[in-house]
Amino acid sequence: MRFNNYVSKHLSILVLIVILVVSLTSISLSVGNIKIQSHEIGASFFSLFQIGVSKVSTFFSGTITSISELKKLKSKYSSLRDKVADYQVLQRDIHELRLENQRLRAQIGYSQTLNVTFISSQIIAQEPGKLFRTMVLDKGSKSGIHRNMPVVAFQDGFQGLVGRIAAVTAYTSKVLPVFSRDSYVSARMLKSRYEGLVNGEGDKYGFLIMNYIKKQAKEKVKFGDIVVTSGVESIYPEGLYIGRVREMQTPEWQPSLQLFLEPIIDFSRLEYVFILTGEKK
Amino acid sequence: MRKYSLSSPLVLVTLVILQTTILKNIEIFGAKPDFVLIVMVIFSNYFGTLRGELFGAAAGLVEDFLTLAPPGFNTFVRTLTGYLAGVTKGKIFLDPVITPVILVGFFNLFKAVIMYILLIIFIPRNAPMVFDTALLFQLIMNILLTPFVLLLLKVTKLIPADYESRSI
Repeated sequence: MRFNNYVSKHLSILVLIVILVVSLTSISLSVGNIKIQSHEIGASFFSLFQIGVSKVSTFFSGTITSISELKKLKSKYSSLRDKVADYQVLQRDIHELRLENQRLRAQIGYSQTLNVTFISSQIIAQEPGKLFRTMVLDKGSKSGIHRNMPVVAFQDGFQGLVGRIAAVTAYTSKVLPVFSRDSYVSARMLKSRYEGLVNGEGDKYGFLIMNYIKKQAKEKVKFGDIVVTSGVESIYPEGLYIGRVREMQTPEWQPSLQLFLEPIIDFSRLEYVFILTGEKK
Repeated sequence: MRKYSLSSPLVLVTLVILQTTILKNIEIFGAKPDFVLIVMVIFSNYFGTLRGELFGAAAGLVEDFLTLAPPGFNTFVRTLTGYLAGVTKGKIFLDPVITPVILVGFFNLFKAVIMYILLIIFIPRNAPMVFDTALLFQLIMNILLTPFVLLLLKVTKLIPADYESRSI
């Protein structure tokens, strides 16, 4: 009786202690790289709601946008008709250019660099906080996505590295972006070929940091130089664009250079990505 | 009370999902408003410690499922915040503006401190990201939004419309 009275009197404290202990155990198990299956199960369940909400909101925003688009399209229609005539002339030129382009690509072997299959996907959710910077994609293991697959995006004519798949559920997957503090990418300067390791600072508007570049590269690194994935002992294929050099530091106490890179991808306007699934057969 | 305590956790879980999807693009200087915190503080002030911590645990658990945070991270933070916000029941009464703003501001900072301590213990490299300008902007956004959220909760009858007068 006395025990029951004690429990009912201090129920909220007891519940608090239980939840906090379970949470702490879970965090320490997780940080210790012990997999907790319940997390995947819960993620699979709640990700269905994310998909639902995202689809509904996309539908409504799409409908509203369609109406205003219709008005704009009407006015554009007449001006476009005039342009069609001009384009017919251009088409002839394009055909010739295409043929020339095919010849050039065959010569430089560019087609080999595109020898990768990919799955396109939409970003349906993002972490509300800024500590772990998760992006959730609308494709999961049912679509053939696996952990550690590289994620890229096309923006302003560049194919840039977005990150890698860090967790997969049946219908969604979570991306660890390249700007995360947990992300490390083996990289190389496109021109001077010096290698280093690119790491994020956790800020999607901020710079990426490239470390471990030999100090002798100091004279050869220029503002705006492009950094790409090196493909050396890495899950990322060679040649994916990561960022441009914006700043260089040469601390006296360090044996290597430190470069600050502006990411190729503008993460604030990223909507669609491509998950690289493997090489074409 | 029973009606409210059934709908409240659903509201919080729905808010977490909305916050990661529709509201994901509301961002100023890297900071996003934390609607879940605002609603949780108000609910906890109304329902007390037990329900406050359970609501917090529910919201935190869903957040853990949906992000790459270590499982239990958000559950811990939200549960503790919900419990302490629940302690204010019967002690701090919510007027339409001032007290909710102070409470939300306080628990916003409290949440950041708890996050910082957890990160120092478990993931030290992420700890410096807690206290930066984004936190300041989040604090400002949360404070500005609190009176409207409180009003919305009353209008939608998720808490009683005469909540403050009843508390007094």
